[in-house]
Amino acid sequence: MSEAELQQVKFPPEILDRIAPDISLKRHFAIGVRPNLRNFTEFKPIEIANSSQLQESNNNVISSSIIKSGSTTIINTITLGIIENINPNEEKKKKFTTIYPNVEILRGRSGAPTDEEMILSQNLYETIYKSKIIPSESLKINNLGISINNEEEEEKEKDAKQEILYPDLNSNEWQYINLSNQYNKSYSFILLSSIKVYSKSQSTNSLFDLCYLSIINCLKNLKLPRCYINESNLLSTKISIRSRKSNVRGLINTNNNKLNLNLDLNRTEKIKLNLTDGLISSNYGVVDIIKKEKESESENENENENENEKNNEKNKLIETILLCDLEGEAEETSILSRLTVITNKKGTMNKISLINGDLNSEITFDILKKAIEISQKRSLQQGV
Amino acid sequence: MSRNLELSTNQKTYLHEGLKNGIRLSNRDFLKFRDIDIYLSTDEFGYVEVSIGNTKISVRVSSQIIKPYEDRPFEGILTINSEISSMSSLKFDTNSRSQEEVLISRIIEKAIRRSNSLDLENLCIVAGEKVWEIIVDLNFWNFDGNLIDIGCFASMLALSHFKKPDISILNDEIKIYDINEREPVNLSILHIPICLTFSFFNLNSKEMNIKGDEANEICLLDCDLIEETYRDGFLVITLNKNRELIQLSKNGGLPIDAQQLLELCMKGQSIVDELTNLIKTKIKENEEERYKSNNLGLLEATADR
Amino acid sequence: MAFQVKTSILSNSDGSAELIIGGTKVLVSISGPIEPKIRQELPNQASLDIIIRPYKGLSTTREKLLEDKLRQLLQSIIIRYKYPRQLIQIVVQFLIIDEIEEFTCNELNAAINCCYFALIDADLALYSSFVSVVACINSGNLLLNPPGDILINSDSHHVICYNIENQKANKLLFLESDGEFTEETLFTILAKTVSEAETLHQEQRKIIQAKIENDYIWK
Repeated sequence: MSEAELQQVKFPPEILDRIAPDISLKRHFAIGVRPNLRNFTEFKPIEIANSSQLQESNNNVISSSIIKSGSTTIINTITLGIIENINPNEEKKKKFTTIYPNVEILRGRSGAPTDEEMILSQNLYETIYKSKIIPSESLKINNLGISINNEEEEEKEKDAKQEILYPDLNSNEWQYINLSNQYNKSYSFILLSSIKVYSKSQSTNSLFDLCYLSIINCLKNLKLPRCYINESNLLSTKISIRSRKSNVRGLINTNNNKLNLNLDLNRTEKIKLNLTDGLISSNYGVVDIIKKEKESESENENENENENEKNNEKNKLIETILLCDLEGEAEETSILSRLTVITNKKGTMNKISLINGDLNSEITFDILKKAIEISQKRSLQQGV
Repeated sequence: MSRNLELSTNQKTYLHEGLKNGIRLSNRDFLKFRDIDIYLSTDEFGYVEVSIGNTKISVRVSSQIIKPYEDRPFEGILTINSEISSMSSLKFDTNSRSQEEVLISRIIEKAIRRSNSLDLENLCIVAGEKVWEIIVDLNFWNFDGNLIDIGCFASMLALSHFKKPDISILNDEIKIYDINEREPVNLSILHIPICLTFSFFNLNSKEMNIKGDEANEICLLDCDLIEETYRDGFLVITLNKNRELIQLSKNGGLPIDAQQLLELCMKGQSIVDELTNLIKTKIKENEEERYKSNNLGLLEATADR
Repeated sequence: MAFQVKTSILSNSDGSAELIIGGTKVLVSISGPIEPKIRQELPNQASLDIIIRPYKGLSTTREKLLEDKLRQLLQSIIIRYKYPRQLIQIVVQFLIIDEIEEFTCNELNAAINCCYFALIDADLALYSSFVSVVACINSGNLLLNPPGDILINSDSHHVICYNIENQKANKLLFLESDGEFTEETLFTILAKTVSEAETLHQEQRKIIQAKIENDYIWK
């Protein structure tokens, strides 16, 4: 046999991780550690910043949350939009509403949102809706105020000339106000959440967990401002315009009555939500690991590769294990059986999303039970 | 199935030889439509499925209340979505629109929207504030030629089939009645445009065609996939039952006699009448069926005379 | 809940199926294996391109999320290494749906079940059969394949897909549960849907048997 010397190529761990994530992952598991050096059922610690600086320095931000987990930082700011409820039927049908998240994963690229960002945003949107956290009624604008130009005081002080009256707070003055049809329109707030993710190593599933946590955290201390319209806008001035096609003339309302937000912090009201305590989302991966028996390993140490492998086959002990909180490229690409669970302190669950992507390492009912158990413990300990 | 349909020279010659002898591969007459198969939903309004040969399409019409455009406060909005997915044929890519796809959309849009076939002022609820938007979604299932004619036909069929919920206005507040609460109302359709696509085949050499004397190009109506692949040019004429010409579209291709254009318009008129009547009878049948199945006769207040 | 299925209805696709289940009607076409674009090509297995088109309007992020769920499921069922460097394109077109915009479970369920027939029609290699069921808990009662108006007010709803081997539902492939529910309810639902899945599979077998008998008639 003419032996052409085949040089063995060696790669440092970080390169092997990049070119052959599955092999790298297997080798890590063989020695009992994960690539990120956590235990199998250990979650990555999460820090929640306790500051309201973002709301205080920005008028349009009404709630915010900053979350840090390892090298990942998530900044979530909630702003408001106002819509007129055009279709009264639809309003009645939907008892609950949701939040409109826009997730941006900042990886130094620009352009249209990636599929990953769209899927994350939509998933958060649907999850919040289906957990029935935000009743439609809580975002409805009731007691719409009217700002009145107080002519008498005008001379004294320029700033104080405007006074805002609310039907519930100023009931005495309110009875003298002449209301027009414009006032009777129904408006609602919509919650827009802009989530910025600074990360490179998180898997999509754990990003969902963190984003979910940040939204729930924002909702906890969300206060809605009051709204008012200008008195002058209340007068409905209709002008007649001729239609393009026929000679019919019609009346058009020229007022674009804009709603204004009263930014006075004393006038804000806490939003009424159906939040249960301890909501937290946890994700898991399921993978088979091969445990070599210790004796055979030491025996085979000096023998050549071939025999070593044969022996290993015999001594292979396959164990299906549950990994908590996937992280890193190797785990992201080679673990396909995954599970996300949202639990709360009450002991119920709000979401389970399970996919058995890897036919060899199956998520059995027992594993599912175990994952639920871990999640519930986590809910009690660190859920918000 | 490959992305592009590639046919052999033999097939092309075979097709041409047939045409020379006055025979189409499908044994149809040159100016004859394939049989149209129509399904109209009886459970909801504005959903139709139409197939002609192997070309299949479904159209859904839906409505919603929105704010009108600033410069047209009295007019409702008609939107036609005719994105062709790669379901119908792999030559249509879902992510990027091909020229052919854009052309098909434009012609259908011109035939229906720009010809004012739908009375938009009738869709106004509160001028400048609330109008109906009517959305027409065309879904092309399978492509076997003639998407334009079928697309336009099915859209008009669906628009005739559609009914929007009834509303009432009281002190600026509109109430939308549920379909079961009050009988929904038809759209006001001013006329029914029908597109006819004529495909031309040049059986002689290019030069002979341009010189003119012996230009005996052949004209086919309602081409299937194979014929469409080999045609040398086509012309879309949109007409309605009132003998009005709505649209003419010929984008290059084989030059044809101007005289032939007039002849085709005349010949097309009878087909237009036929197709318009088909829409009307099908809608009528569907309404009768619905009338019977819902026992609406019980609600009649007037006596039979 | 009965399936109403038509297969091989589109002549330009390698496999197609139309399915009516409850108030949902869906059409699936499959082209594949075909040549992929360079960025889609995988050296050792087939790549999946899934396109979901809504019943009205243009596709949005709602369809993107559905596409992602369907992709995760199908890529573990199709034996992808049999078609290296190839593309399998699946277009799902919803025609009639029975649920409001915020819900997707009836649609997802119909899409999964319809994909099964379309994949078989396209003669693609599969690891196993699969069948999907929707269940919801409405004021304490378990309801299978709920209509849209019940779904809105339900306490929790679940899309469950089982893999079927030897006519037995032996493995949970996919589970999507939302709303509020306890661990106990979840496992009751799982236990009950296993038998439902097996009955549905019997129906699948009948439909496929009829299809094959019909396909092999010399016309």
